[in-house]
Amino acid sequence: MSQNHYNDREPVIRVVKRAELPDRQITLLRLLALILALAAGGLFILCVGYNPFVIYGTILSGALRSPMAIQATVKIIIPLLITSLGVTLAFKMRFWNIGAEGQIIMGAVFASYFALFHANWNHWVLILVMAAAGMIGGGLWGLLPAWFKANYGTNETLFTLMLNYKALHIVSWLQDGPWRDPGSQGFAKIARFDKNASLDKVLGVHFGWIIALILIVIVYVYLRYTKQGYEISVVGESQETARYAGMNVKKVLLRTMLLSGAVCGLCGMIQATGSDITLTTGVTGGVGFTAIIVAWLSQLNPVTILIVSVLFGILEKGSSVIQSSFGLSTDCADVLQGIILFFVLGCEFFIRYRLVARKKKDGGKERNKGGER
Amino acid sequence: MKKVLSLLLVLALTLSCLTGCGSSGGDEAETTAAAGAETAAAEEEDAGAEGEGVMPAIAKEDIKVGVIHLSDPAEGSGYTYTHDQGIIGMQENLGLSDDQIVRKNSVDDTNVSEIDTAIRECIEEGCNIIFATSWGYMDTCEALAEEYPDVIFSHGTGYKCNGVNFNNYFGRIYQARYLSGIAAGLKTETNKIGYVAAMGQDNSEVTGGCDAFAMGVYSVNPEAEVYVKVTNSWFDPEGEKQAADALLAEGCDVIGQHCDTPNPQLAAEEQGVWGVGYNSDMSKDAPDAVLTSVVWDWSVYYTKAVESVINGTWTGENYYEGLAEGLVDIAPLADFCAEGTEEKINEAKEKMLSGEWDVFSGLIETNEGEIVCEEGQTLDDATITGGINWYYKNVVVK
Amino acid sequence: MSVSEKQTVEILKVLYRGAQILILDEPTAVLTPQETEKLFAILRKMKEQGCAIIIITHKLHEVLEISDRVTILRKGKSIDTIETAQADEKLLTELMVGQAVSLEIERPLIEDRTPILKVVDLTVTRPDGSRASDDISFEIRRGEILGVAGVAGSGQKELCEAIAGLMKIDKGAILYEKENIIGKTPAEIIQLGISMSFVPEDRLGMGLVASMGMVENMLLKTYRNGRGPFVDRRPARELAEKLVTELDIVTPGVNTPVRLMSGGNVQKVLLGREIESKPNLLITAYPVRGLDIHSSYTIYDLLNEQKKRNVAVIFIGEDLDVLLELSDVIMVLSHGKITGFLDARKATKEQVGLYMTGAADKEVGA
Repeated sequence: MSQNHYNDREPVIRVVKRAELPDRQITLLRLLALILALAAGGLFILCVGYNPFVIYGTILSGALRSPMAIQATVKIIIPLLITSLGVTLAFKMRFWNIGAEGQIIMGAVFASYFALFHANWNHWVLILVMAAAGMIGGGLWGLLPAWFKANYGTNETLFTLMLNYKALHIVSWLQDGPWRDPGSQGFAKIARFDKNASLDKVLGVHFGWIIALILIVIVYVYLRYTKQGYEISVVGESQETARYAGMNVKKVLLRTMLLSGAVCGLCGMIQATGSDITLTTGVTGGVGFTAIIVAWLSQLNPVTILIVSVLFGILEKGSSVIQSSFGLSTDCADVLQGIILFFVLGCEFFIRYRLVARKKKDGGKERNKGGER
Repeated sequence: MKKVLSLLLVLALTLSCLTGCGSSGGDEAETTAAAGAETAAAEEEDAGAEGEGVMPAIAKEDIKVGVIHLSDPAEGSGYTYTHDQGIIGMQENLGLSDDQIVRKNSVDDTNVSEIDTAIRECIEEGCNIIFATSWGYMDTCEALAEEYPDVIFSHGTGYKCNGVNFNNYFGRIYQARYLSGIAAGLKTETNKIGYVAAMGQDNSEVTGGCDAFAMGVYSVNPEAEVYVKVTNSWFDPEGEKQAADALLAEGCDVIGQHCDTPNPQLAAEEQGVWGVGYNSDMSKDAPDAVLTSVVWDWSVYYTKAVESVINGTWTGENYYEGLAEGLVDIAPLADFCAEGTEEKINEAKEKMLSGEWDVFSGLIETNEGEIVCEEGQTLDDATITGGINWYYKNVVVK
Repeated sequence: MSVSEKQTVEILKVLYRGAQILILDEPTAVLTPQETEKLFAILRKMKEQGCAIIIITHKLHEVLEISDRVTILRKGKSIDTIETAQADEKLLTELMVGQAVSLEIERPLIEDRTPILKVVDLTVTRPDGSRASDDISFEIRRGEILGVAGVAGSGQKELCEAIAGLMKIDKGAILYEKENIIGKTPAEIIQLGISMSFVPEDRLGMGLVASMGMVENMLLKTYRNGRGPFVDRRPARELAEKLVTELDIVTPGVNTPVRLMSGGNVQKVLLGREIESKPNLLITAYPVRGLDIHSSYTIYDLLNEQKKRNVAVIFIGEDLDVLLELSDVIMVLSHGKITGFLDARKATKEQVGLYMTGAADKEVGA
């Protein structure tokens, strides 16, 4: 009788963890997801009354049609790329750093101090100091939740998330009070930085892109080939094992979050002094969250992160062109991005799990059930 | 839509007559609509007085106008909608085709990178003149004006300009606010009038507008007080509603506003009391509450600016006009306005249009007892745009 | 509740529900021989009442004792089903392994046995506040295998972790070559040549990183070697390849994640690495848990080899037969206390079982 009880309880469809899939099959699944995503997105475009091929074409051409478009696309990619690398360091350790936004902002705040009040320093000294300040700012903002986690076992997801809002409010306070542009006639804004305090342009884009490329190599080498990188992997896999191997788990935790925050902070410095040339509450542009998706889609592989960031950059830049060329609402572009993400992320789910339909028991029972209804 | 356009045209026409600049319409811009031609002529005279334009003329078919919007015009009310109506009016006036207008919607004005990308996209798509409608776009415009000297940047509501390819435009909206204050002052029964302000006392645009409103109230009802509540945001649907609700709870029975959404008016309507809308005629949102609305007709400026570019008479100077040019006005009065409202308003309007008196003229006392303007004096434009950080004597900050 | 108590409850639960078919997976791992006897008595009674019972076990004497028929599985395939009455240990082993195997465990005697580790009055508290080790004192000498017996959860894990420097110690001293190692970091203790290969319930939880390949796992304790910030993977790769050939480890490649390898091979990787670090003291807990006979014997041989190299070995086991055959001395733990030391060459299973419950303690004390 207890068996009957269980049978009735079994759901129609349940989720079962998959055995490991071979790499080629995973790649195929991802490709399929991408095709499905484009198809579903196309269907959506068709419903709104446009030709999907034209729209997709415009996304591509809008992002790459001219040197200016490419420069704009690259500018979108830079912060996404750097932040993804930053969170990858923490994620590799299974530390859920949702606080990249806050770390970017604090990096930007620290760097902005020098940009605002020491703009007369020698240009390269100033740039270096600002970069260092940015890394310290972001690093400390990352260290804080790590310290609490290490000592009091606090939940890092909530902690880092909430620190985002703290950082945002610090910027609001700064632009409303101490750092308010004296020439702004009472409006809450921070003055545009001096030219001396802004990043130089290389090939039409601030040289943050060079830093980003160098960072890819650094993070790749750090995670792959250094002792500290090895420690991160072990701590991420099992803290018990790490302790067993004689690692100081606390130290690894703090150090890695310091680095993760520092990379995000550097991104903040680059955004503030390279792209925005001022400090606003919108300095992150939301990359702190998008970067999480990028990092996961890339399986925390720095080289893949580059590819995924580029795709995201193209999608974002292209969407903005669709909006103006076709009068398609910005919301439509968001929906399109959402659809594509939905499929790609959904695919990750199916790589790890599969759905199992309830097996048909002997016919009698099924019929019995039908009768009850 | 068509109705609005024809209304705008008529408005533009009457205003150009009012300004008294209506000379002959036969100049090089033959194909433009009558109203546009009139304004162009006016511009020509202005330019003539101060020397030729500072930018080369651009043939009408080569003109491409970029517009950076804070939100989506499709919202159908409020700030962005009003600006977009102005753009549509300009397009109609000058007979530009749809692909001569490039719109960038929902560009967050706190995200400099996003602004930068949007404006550069306009430039990339060949825009020669770009209207940046929100305050936060100012610094980016300034920087890009330097980088792209061939492109004209016209920035709304700010204060910066470079006198060549970067100017700013705004209007004497306080004139319309004064008029709306008359309607509010006559209507109130509790003698408490609420005012939802986007920004605090330091912000001259908002505070000056609030003062003008309060002075309008005072001119007809010295007993009434204006309660101000600040939301600290230009666009905050929830905060605006909460501020209005708080004011209503204080006993206010007319709600004025300097913020984007019609939510304060809806809140007033819910309570069965009245209000004064802003940006566009909000009687379409809250027909049983809105006495009148303080409205912009941006097409007046947009038409003038684009036409001057076509004519080669663009001067790069700041634009700051008002009631006389038709840039600002109040929407038609509701029939439930107090008796005599229209007469009082017209009386004040006459004085302003004739130039014999303006809002910030004569004795002005603040709510802290300070005299900021003596009898016989008038505040200059620099003070009005950037120096009003006091509240008029009947204003109470809540 | 201890693991054995939990298991008892689990069995009781099924019995209470009046199950018709009872499946038991290694039910005796957490039971003392006496408790096992009781369980078997219950099972026999159930059989008489008409229940069908499937018992999965790796202890062949239990198979012979309790079952009527036995099915032998090898690598996921059913090899044969025979009447137990016609089987003996040798036959079963042959069927399991696929070839004839000697069931004798070697026990060499090393003459020169100098003390290497001395534990004095060691007291350790678990995070939940219960005593894991209560005033434990013992000594282990080079060339000796110290077997540690006790039902699961008697403080074996904590004893291991205390020696390895992973647990906070409340009281007592651990003297390694007369030097107190309490307060030293795990890394320093590893440097001294104390090696622990602890196999917890989930075999990969400690000691190996499941998602990493053999090469990366070889690095676990030696990655700090060499100057500079970079990890030198060459020696690790060489070591991994050496282990594969020497210990017949079956794996698609040295970079295949170890979680994809079979239990026996994982065990060989773990133990192989520890042995290759040339320890003076090797602590190994449940090294043959879940392994087939063939692999188990390979592990025993490995341990004996270490003993012959004058290494002191602490062997924490669960199968008393093995403990009695392999160890030199058996230390019995019960509820965190040492209840007795026995000469493994002379002791019987029943004696050990008595000490495991703590019952013998009173007898001895009295």
